[in-house]
Amino acid sequence: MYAIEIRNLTKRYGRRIALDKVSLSIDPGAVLGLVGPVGAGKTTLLRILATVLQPNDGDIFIDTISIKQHPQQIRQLIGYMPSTLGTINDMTASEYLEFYAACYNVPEADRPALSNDLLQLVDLYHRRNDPLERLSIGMKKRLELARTLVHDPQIMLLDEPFTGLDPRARVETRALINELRSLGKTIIITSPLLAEVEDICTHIAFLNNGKIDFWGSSSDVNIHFADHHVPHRIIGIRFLGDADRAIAIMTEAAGVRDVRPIQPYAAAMTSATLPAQTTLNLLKEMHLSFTGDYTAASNLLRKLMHSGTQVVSFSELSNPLPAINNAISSPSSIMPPISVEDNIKPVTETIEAATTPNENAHL
Amino acid sequence: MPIYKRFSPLTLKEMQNRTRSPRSFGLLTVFLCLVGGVALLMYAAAMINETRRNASTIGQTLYFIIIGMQLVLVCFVAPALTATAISNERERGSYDVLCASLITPWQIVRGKLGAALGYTFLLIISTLPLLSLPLMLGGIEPFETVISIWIMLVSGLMFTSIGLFVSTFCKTNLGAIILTYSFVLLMVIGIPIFALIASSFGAVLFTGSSTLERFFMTLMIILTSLSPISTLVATELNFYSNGKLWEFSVPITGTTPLNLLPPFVILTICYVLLTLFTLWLAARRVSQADKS
Repeated sequence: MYAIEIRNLTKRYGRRIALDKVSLSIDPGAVLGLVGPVGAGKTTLLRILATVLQPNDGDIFIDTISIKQHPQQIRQLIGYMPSTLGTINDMTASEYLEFYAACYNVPEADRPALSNDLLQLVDLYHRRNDPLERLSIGMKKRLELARTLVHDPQIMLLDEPFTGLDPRARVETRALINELRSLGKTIIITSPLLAEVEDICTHIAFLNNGKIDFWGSSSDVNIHFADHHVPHRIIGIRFLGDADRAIAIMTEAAGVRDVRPIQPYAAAMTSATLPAQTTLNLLKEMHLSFTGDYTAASNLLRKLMHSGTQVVSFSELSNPLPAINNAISSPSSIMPPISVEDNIKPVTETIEAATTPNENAHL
Repeated sequence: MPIYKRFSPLTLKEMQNRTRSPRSFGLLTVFLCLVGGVALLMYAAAMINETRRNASTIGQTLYFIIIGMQLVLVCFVAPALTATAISNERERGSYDVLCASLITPWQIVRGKLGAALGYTFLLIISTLPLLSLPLMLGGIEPFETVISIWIMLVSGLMFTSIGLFVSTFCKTNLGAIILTYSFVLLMVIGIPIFALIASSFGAVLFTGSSTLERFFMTLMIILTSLSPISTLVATELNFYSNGKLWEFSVPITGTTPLNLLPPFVILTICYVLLTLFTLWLAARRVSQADKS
């Protein structure tokens, strides 16, 4: 028996189809990462699961209970954490949890102990009497996680739990989710970035334009996308000197699939007013889609340095999964690459960094 | 079991938040200072004026000023307390969490209304000591005061319900406030003005047909009774002309006078029915919100 079974779920907002016949089944104790770009339908799917939105077609069964037929029973089984922080600032942390415990009919005598236990779980016990307005965003997110647990639900729905968090808070929240996972909860986590959820999820589903593009275990993701020739890694190179010569070397190097100039260099390239010397001294940044091994990468670096290019940094920006994620989640945010076959083309559009900076790992 | 434990968790939370907020104390202070200050000034002015040394006249003047001010303030403060009740939850993102809990739509509506109504009643009751002054000066019947307070309480109930209902379908706080006040202004000022204009035309149009005139006058009295201000004025005018509070009659040309229920009774019946209807609609909106 599945913990959650989604059958042909369709949701329309007017003419726009937010979810298009989505079907998915999740085993008890699984942690599903629902990954996709903004507007893919992740939040819609989670809100339907949380019974705050009704689908147009299809149904969801949680422990064989239909979400359409028995929403009140489903509410007892799920803990929902929306992406926006809905905390009420006039309350203290313990009052907040006790209020929601009351909303889930937890007996009044049990509420203070429950609140204390949950605050200890999320490491906020020392702030239990603080008004919520004094808590940081990271603390509020942890408190929200505690709030979803007041009625000890079997299933937890976490909508972008890492959004807006600083690196430390991300680590803390991640540890907390891992702890919940060890308690045997079935968890669904949404995120626009695969890198954020890949290591805590047992399964990954890619949602794009309201449809499931891919669904499988985390290990299946690598295999599946390797077969689809998705670039293995992205290498970021920053250098000074002649850009045309450097790009020519990069495009001819083994393992390089494409070369993407990155801001601000991309904009500077289009400017005809800059003198040649200024252009040479400008720090350029390129992102290479690279399928070669470490020897090939090392050879590329050596060629660049022998050509007189002053390499400032040469680093691996992403491992395969985020690259897959970028390819799927935000194709529009990346400029069309300068392909090896087409050789060098003038750059006329701006480019966004393809990966987050904290993912840098030197080769 | 203590009474407060019978309330839904949302009612208790809302009441707690409202009483903790410095704005609530500020509003109560301003309300009392405004009503008390104007009453004091009027009392001083009446005492200085030699021609107004008659205690009962001073009492009546004070009574109308205090009740009038209170009523106007209640009409405009009460809807503000609920106009953003639901839209605010939406704006700060806590609405989904509330809907995903075991709290029912009726509990949400009752919780929001209960807290706002409690505060509205507090505003009305807190000014009661000021009304003791005109009562002591004379010229006012205690029962008159009770009816005036009753009109205020019923108006508070109606306008908080309107605010709550509007709040259930407005996406933003600003939209909810504008729409709520539009409704309130229509009821408090718009309908009596319309009734007044229509009456002057009706007097000309229906002269000669007593049946039509009776029907038209009944309709106008009901319309006038939909505004608490015109209801209060009509009740007092009726009391001073007929000396009766429970009987209300309108003279009709060439036939027996039209006997109707007093305006404050019509207001009570209409407002209670309208309140139940708007609350039912609000609960429906809450249960269906975002689900279509």
